[in-house]
Amino acid sequence: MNNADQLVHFAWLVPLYGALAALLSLPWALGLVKGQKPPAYAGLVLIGLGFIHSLFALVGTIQNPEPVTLSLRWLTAGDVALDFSLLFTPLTVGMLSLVTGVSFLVQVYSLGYMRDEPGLPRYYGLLNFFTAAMLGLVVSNNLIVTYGCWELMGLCSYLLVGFWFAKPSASAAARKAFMTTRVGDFLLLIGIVVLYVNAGTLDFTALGAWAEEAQLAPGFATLLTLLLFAGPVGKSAQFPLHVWLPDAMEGPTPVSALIHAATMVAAGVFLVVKLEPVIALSPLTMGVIAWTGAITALGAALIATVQNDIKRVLAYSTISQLGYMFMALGVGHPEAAVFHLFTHAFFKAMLFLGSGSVIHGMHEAEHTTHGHLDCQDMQNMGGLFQKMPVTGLTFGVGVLSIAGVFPLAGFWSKDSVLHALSESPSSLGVYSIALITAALTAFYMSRQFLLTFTGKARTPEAGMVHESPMVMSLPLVILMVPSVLAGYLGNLWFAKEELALSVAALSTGAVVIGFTASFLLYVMNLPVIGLQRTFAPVLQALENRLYIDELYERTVVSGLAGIGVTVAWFDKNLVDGFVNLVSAFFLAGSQIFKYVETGKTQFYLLIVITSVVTLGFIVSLSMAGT
Amino acid sequence: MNIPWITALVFLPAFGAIGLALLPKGEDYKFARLWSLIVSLGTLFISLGIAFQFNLSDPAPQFRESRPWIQQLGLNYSVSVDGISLPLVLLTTLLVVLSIITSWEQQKRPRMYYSMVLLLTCGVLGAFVSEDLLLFFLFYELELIPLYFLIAIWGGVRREYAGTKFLLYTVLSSVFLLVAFLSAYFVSGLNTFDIHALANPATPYPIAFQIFMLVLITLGFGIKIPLVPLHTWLPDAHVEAPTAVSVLLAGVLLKLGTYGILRFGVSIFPQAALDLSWLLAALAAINVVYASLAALAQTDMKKMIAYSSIAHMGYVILGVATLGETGLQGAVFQMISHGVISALLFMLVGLVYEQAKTRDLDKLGGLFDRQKGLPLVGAFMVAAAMANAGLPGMSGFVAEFLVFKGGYTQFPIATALCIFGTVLTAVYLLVLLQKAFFGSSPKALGILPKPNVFAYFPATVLAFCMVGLGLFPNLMTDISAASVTALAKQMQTQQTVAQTIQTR
Repeated sequence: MNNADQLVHFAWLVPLYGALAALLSLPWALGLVKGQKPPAYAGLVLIGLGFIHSLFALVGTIQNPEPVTLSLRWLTAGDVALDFSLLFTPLTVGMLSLVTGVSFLVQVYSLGYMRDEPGLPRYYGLLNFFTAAMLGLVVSNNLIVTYGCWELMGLCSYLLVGFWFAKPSASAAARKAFMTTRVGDFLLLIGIVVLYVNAGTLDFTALGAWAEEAQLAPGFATLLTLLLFAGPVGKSAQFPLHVWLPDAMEGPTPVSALIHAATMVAAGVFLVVKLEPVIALSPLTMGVIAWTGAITALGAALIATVQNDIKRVLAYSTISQLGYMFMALGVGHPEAAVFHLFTHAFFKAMLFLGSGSVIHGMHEAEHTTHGHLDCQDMQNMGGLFQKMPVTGLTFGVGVLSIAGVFPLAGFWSKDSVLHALSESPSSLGVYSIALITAALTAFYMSRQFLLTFTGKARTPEAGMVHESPMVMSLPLVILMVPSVLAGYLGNLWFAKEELALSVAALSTGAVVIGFTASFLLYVMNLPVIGLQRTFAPVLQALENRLYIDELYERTVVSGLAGIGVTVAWFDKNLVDGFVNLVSAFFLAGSQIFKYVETGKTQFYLLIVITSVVTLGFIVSLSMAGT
Repeated sequence: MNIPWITALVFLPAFGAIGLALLPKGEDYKFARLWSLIVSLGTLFISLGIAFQFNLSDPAPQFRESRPWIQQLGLNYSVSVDGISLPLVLLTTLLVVLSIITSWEQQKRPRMYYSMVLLLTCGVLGAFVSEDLLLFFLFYELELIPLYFLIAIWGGVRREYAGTKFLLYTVLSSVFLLVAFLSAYFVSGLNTFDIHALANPATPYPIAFQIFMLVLITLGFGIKIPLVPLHTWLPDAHVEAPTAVSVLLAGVLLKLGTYGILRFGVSIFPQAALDLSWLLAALAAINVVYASLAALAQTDMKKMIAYSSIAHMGYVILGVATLGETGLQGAVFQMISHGVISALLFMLVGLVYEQAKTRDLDKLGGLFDRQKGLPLVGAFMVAAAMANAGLPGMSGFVAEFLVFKGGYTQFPIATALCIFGTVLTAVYLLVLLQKAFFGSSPKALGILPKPNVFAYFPATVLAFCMVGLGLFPNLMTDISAASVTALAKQMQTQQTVAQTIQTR
């Protein structure tokens, strides 16, 4: 066994680096030890170590792609026998490097972005916990371990989104994120239980073998797989459980970068990839997955076109890009989905960190002017490119990459998804939606770039912005490299077929249409007031996120609260009321009869005599009757 | 050498209580609390000693002691532990130590207070180790009296109402049980209350009688668990009881109910259990959903946790209803897990109440705040809330997963409803966290004093148990495995017997 193999065999340490960093930060985070920076440095060192370890391990697995498994007995009870099992293949180790790499850069960036934050130890502790959970999910070879890491990530995202707990909007967003994903998770848990009862195993490898021979009734298979799919719908923010992700930007921006790029939302895609053989048992579910992806991609892209909050646009773009991945999964091309996940992680992390850099700059400017403006509103920006060249350049590359411009990373992965869709005979609808979404993506992303970085500064603050410090801009520059080049690497790993020229031409055409439209609207400032009037209701609906959030608020949320109040009322007044009524009855009875207990012998004798006489009377009467 | 370990375990706290009561009146609370801490630690060590010598592969009762006591009545003093009662004994001894530490600053009538706690310990431990129905009943009654005093003397404003309600309800429970036990005695004609003898009658009990008995026993213990709609005494008792008593009430005393159904209902009348299991499953689902919904609308933190505690006992019932190995393992696991988690939740609510002097969610806020609030309590609360909502890696998830896995094949709808209960749990606990810990702290609350570091000790111990059992669940399942397997086998034979009778 050579050194590289050794590193693969010890790759289980990688998630533990993160967990260790999180544990180490506990004393500081809980305020037991004074100090700000030690947990941050511990996190950087350990995650950096994890990144280096996983890179070497990656080299090892590529040289020797034999999967390495590790399995420990976790729970035995009755007919339940579950292992804690991990799997290391080139794919999972590659994901380890991706997650640790992005997490490391986010942590470096956070040193600058969160510089004056008093809760820094808590922040780094949660960040590392979050990373560790995602790393565990990536290498888990067992549905129960996956579910465990999955839920831990839910907890971390809850605490990170609500990091600024004093802000009511942040605490509401945190709750929304947790509850929305929880709805999916509970259906997933039912699915896991049903799957376990039927398959007798939760090991992914064994599940694959089981799925090959399983004879399930089609209806049952569909139900089971839909239950399993409900989890990813929540976690990866797909319609109709997408509502939490745009609100989740209430958390610190670097956290959004982590959630949207390499963790959390990626988990849903990953789970479907791992469960692919099982889910393929139901063609209907595969169709549902493809269409869920299509509807989500299109809807989110449409909403993104009218948002003015710089982070909200990116949030909807994440939802939309995840839609692409699910489209690919739905037509049975997990490799295309993972490819897009892989490239998306880089440019989305870069875009989010870039938006954080912009917000950071706006905030600093706001401090000097003592103004009060929304630092995330793109209408308050404009012309930032000259002020923040590094941020502007990297953001621009990110925009081109996410839009799918040749030859950047996004082009290759998106085309691999489109190619997969074009080959699937039954998915013409999904394919056309994907193309329309590609045009929309190019439109709203270029719109974002134009509004933020070009033109004239629309507020005095926007005119005073400075470039962010090195520790923030350096991660952006580093992320730019894979955002440009990751496509070639991905082509080596993921692409199964040659790229079809027709697909590439169509998608490039879509991109050109999107770019042209935003150029006309936001650079040439074409007068479109007539159009705006005609489409006013549509625009308004889009601005209000198609009223989906409001619908949930009015039905599910207040409905549940109403049921709770009703049950509590029922419990207090009817159930407990009945109990108190019984006791009141006895109390009243004793109140009446206590007057009989006078303590006077004469009275008692009187009662005795009266009773005897009455009894005698009754008896004699009844005797007479017979 | 043959030391009667179980007897020592049960009666050490009783002697401790008597000794404390006999001490001169002038002794201050510091002595009383130290005394009771030492006694309870002694009990804990005895129970740990028993656990270390416990033979994991033997399903039969161990450390058995049996002597005739009142032969005319058929009453034997026979005690033992097996894989089902041992975890509960350990939970009890641990929680008693922790609750004594929790009430460390309690100064009102300390001698009586601690005597009552120790007497309660004796009653509960005795009930868990009894092999004789009448002996169990005596201990069951013994536990009642100190608990009544603990609520009615050291409780909150409406302590007398709550105490009396608790007393009346539990007396009603005792009546059902006594009728059931006496009927078993007379109908079996064996002149004994020994559960092993009663479980193996020469001629099987008529099925109608079995069903009648199981209904009575379920009613009796259902008050204790409590089963909806017999539950309304519990939120009142919790709200009024001091923290340490709530810890014991939720952590240990409720388990007497589920343990009783398992040991004296299901084990002795298996045929009826098989016939009525669907009813138990339905009751379980009702408990989970109804109590969770009721918890949603509570504004008193403690009342919310009390309803949560009721809801989570439903999982135990579902596990019992499966009558299969996996589900029963889950039920036993959930009893322990519920004991740890709900005890922790009540401790944390107690810590908040002590500092903020209110438990009203509408008046609390911003407790995460480093300067003004109780951030450490907040951290524990997040962990406990997540454990309660079934977060993997903590004990609750293991228990629930086993229960769901066992329950799904027989009662898919009840199981799905119970899984839905985990969503509801998350809903109300997130409301609690949002209202009390998130946000900014209201002016009226001011700057809360920080509790003594020592005050976090019990919570830390429980948090370790919670995570430890979640990460290494086999620690627990190994203890209960042999006994549960034996019980499940017994159920299976009953079922096959019933099926062969039916096919004939």
